[in-house]
Amino acid sequence: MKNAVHCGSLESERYWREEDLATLPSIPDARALAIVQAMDEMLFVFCRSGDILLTRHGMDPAQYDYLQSLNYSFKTNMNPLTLGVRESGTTQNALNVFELLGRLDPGQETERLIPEGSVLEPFAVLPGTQEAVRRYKLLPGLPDEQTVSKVNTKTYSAAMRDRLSLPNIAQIVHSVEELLQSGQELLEKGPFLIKDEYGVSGKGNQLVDSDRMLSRIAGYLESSRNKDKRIRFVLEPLLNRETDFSSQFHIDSEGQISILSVQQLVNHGFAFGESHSPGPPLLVRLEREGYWEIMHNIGRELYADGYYGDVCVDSMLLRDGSLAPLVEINARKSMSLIKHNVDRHLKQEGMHTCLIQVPLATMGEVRYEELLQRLEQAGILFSPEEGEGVIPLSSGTLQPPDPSRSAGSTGSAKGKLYAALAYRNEDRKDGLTRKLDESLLRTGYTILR
Amino acid sequence: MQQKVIEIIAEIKEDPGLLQTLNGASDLTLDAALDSLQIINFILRIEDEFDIEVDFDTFDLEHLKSVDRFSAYVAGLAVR
Repeated sequence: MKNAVHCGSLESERYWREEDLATLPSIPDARALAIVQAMDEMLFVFCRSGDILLTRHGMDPAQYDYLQSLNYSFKTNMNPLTLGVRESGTTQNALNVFELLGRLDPGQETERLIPEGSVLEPFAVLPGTQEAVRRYKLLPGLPDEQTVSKVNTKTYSAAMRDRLSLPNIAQIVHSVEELLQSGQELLEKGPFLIKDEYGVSGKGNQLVDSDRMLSRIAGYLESSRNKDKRIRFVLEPLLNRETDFSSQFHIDSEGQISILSVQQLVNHGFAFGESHSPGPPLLVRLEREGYWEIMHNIGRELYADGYYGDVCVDSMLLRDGSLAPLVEINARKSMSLIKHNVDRHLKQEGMHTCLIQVPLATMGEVRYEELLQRLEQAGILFSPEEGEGVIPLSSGTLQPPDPSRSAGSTGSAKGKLYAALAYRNEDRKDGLTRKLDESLLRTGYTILR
Repeated sequence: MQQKVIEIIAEIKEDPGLLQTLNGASDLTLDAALDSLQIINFILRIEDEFDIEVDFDTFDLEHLKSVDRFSAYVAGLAVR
């Protein structure tokens, strides 16, 4: 089997977005972007022995050594992928990892790492992916970039519900007048969401619960920022959700569909909080309601439209007892697929796993290696021998390079720890979480919960 | 105004405990831990409360460095 090259930009939606689409109010946050850009380290979970992982900033050597001790035997770049002094940090940050790879000077570490004829395994197909395939002589076999961009829109997900005769509560608006009219009708029944075509959890979905809020958003869409831009948003009544979950499946290049897993999510508001494996009641319910057949049908329609590769479909159980099988299609890998691959690697009977994120701040330079040492001293760093504990999934997200700070400057910086917890029961999980918090605080991090 | 700003943060975070823990020096993204979506909803609530309009295109995250700084920014908009 040929070796694979794994890399990607986890903020994929940012690169699919058409520039002439109007935007909802938002505040650019370079520090939040820096954290997301460093999440590409987590793609090590997809690496088989001998595979190559390319990350934007390079992995901390302590993290690399730790992952090798867990029997992940991949090669990776230890230095950041940088364009050199002639390009500004802003230019570089605007590029996705494939655009970055395409513009690197010849003779860099990446060229030595990538064996000719390897298979590219991207987190998502983005603009610039095919060019990187050509430059590094990787094996083709990816859907085209325009198809991927299209099937990841909210309007595509809404249209898919109609194609599969599923209940469809979405309304698509193409003008401010339509937004005001449909929005007022929706408000008479309750709050609703305005969804950006490429919105992701925590960003790009605006909850509207009053006339004043609706007219403020309409005013923003008519402001100079959005002047001459196309309006295209999906409006949906706010669903009264009981449980968020998602299913992951793969469509191969021949159209064969393999269901991989289902993961339950605990969201904080609209943002990712924690994912864990669902209990039998949810799985029985899904079987009874023909959920897997719906996922296969979505896969078949995606393939007919030219997409193949990884898919994550967001679903919900509602408080009224009904099932919303198709909330959104994400035609890419996902956090839930990362969780599934951690499970596959651990493969331990009677052990539970969950994926967590801990928002952090630091007031100065903090050494990642020290955190690993503290976790080990506290007896909670996962090892194959113990079979239980905390597996930190990325080093760079804890203190990513902040483009708004000059080199050597101090001050607060935001970060996030992404980790998998392996535990035998809920008491052990609580113990791991408590000791993890203590270790983070002692290493110099402030926890932002 | 400071107290009203803190009340709105506690409401957005759905955490009444913040009424006791936040003060004028508190950082809105670090101490109050408002995330990107919550910041937008917070600002929209502030606009409603103080009858002002924030320019999202020029808004600087520096205004969120403390409750006092943010209150001063809002007061500046209110007198225009």
